[in-house]
Amino acid sequence: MLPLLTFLTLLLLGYLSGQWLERRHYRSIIEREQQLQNLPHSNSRDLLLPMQDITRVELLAGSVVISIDYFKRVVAILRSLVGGPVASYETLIDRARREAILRLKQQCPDACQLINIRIETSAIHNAAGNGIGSVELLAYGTAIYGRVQTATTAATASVLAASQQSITH
Amino acid sequence: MYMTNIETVPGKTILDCYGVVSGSTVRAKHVGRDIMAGIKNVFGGELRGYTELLNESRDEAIKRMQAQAAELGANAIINVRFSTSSIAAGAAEIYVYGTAVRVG
Amino acid sequence: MAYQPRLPKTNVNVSRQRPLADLLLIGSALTLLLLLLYWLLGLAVDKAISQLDPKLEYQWFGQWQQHSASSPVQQQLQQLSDQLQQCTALAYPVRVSYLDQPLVNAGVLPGGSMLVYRGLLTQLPTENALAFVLAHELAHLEQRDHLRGLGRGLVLAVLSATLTGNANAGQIFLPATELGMARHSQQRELAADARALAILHCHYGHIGGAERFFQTLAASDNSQLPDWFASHPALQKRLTALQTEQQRHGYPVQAEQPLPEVLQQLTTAESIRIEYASPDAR
Repeated sequence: MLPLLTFLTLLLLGYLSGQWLERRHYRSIIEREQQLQNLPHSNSRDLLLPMQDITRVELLAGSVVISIDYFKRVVAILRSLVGGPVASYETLIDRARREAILRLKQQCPDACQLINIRIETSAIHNAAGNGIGSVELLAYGTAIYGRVQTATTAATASVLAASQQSITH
Repeated sequence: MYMTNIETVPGKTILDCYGVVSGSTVRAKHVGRDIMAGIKNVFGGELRGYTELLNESRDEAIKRMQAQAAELGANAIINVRFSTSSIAAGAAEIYVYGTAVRVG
Repeated sequence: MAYQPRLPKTNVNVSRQRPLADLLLIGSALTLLLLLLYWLLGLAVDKAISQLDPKLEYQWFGQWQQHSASSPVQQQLQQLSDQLQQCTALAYPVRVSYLDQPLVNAGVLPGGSMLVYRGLLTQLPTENALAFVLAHELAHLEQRDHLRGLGRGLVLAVLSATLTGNANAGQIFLPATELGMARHSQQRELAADARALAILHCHYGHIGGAERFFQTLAASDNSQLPDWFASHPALQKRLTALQTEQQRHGYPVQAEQPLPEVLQQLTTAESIRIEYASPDAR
């Protein structure tokens, strides 16, 4: 009887705390995404916006490790018997990825752009060896500081370039 | 929706960029596939069940990424990258990410 | 190209969220399936055991026999056990070991080894009551219950390990396995009680004293928990089952015989011990 009660208690604890923490985390994520949405970012290797001059280039990384709760693990094991999408892990990965990217962005709020964003996932096994204990997400990219070339500066530059040509000609 | 894994969509110009979009799924295999895999582990060869499973998951992830890009108003995704990881016994996570752009 | 800051309104990366429904649905379906499988495999185990020759069992497991030192108490118990064994179908000798510990219990091991603890002897005021307990254990051996339990335990462990690929995930199926094992074990206990009554009747001609052990236990047992997951049925259930069995076969109840000298000394020694330990326990 006792192992059964322990199991059920852990399950309930995992469910309640997991759901609460998840909802709280999502609220925080959505709020910060609103704040940081103006930072240009992409995962191309080319500059997203042409720069007039570049003062600093920095490689930055943001990472987060989120733990799996008991309820998620049980549901995942049941799912792995019948097959199909494991919704409980999907929220976990989604939260972790968005959090990692936010942490990356938070480190360069003044940057002109953040390019070549790459994302890596790894599963960290727990000491007991029975399954995954937590998931680590790493997001890294290059932040470019300086001055973006706007339309007027671009026009000035091309005019200057044209005038230069006529002088040397 | 165009998708490339280079920095441009050849033959088109990029007009707007909407940032990084991603799609991910976590899929579990069922017992049947597991048992077959166990047997195959003895003999070797392709695990067709798993290949199918992961292909389906990848398609689902790509669809999700395209849905997210479309919601932002993009019509192409450049620099697409894939990643597979095993995050639980019996479940694999596939995610695909890229930059959503509007080309014309 | 220009950067347009936009945020998606929906989250495409999570499927419809109904984890509780998932858990309950899949959990209960799996539990039912497991119970069914357990029952079927249990039948298979029973079939296999009925094919197993008792002599073979004695050969295999006989080496595990416990041999406690021969003492007057042990000899007395052995004598009583041998007499009772005449009324059973057991073909091999059963060795009784007396263990000087205050545990109120008796048990059997595969191969024909019976263990009797001192604590039990002090709870039984008459020889008939003691005989019932010994007969109950002999009935277990006769019905090969120990092997059934062993077989089922093995089957369950292998099943959960294979299905989940993870030995520790057997926890998930705990409700199903505990329920299955408890039900089976309780059934076997009631069957052993009934058989013990028959053995008692065969040896003494009556079944006086059979209920005494349970009545003594019931007096000191205040547990109100249901017995769904316990290995033995509730005391009241066992008493009722005994009475039903008696009525069905029409066993008579007559006066009981007192304990043999040697064992009576144990009881007195124990009550002195208790009195000494707590003088105001009266």
